[in-house]
Amino acid sequence: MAARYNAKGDQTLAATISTALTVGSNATTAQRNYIKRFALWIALTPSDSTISWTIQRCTALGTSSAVTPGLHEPADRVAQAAVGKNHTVEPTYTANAFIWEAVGINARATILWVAGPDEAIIHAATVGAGIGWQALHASRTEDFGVQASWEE
Amino acid sequence: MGQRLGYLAIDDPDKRLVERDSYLCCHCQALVTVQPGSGKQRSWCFRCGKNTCGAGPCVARCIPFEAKMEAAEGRRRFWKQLELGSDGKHRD
Repeated sequence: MAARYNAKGDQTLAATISTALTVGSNATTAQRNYIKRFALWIALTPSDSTISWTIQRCTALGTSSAVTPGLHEPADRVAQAAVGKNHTVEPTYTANAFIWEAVGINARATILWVAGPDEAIIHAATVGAGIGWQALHASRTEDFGVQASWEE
Repeated sequence: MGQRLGYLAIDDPDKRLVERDSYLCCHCQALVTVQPGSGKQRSWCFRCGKNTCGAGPCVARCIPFEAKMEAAEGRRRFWKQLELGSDGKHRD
């Protein structure tokens, strides 16, 4: 059975779209990751306004703080995925390769998605390939957070 | 038999919990939420045996997402083979 991992990322909301978390292929040994679940939320003091959420494929993972993924099963090996949060240089996103494109949801809401039994968000096993979670708002500057679980 | 669906929940404390079935398009992996009564037209791919997102290219032609990924991975392998010899060293 595939091993399962999870990681959390955050980023400050800005008027331009910014990335909180990327899960990508390992830099030396390329592999696919199978994303089975994610959760999105706004931190600090959420109030009513629409946050635009986007999930997109990328071909380069940008510059970020490295995240050590957690293990769902402590006996499993450490994760092989390259995981980063709080990006200072945005990933190179693939045009029109959206999983979720600019979905507007109230800032008070927490969003949870769980994949069906036979499906997962998958990226190719090529170095730099991955999935990025992004958000934007014209004026708000709270942190937004993403938590993702995947199998590899 | 129908496709087994995923689950999307939007929990806004001031409103009721919104729960939706969801699925990933078998051709582009777009995340689609099912809204009964919305009137939105999606489509079913008889080759994949799964739902599509209903976007033009995904309805017009069956290219499973798995095939697209294998093509991307194959391209990378091809260029790597051109770059390196069988001994793993750069060619002159």
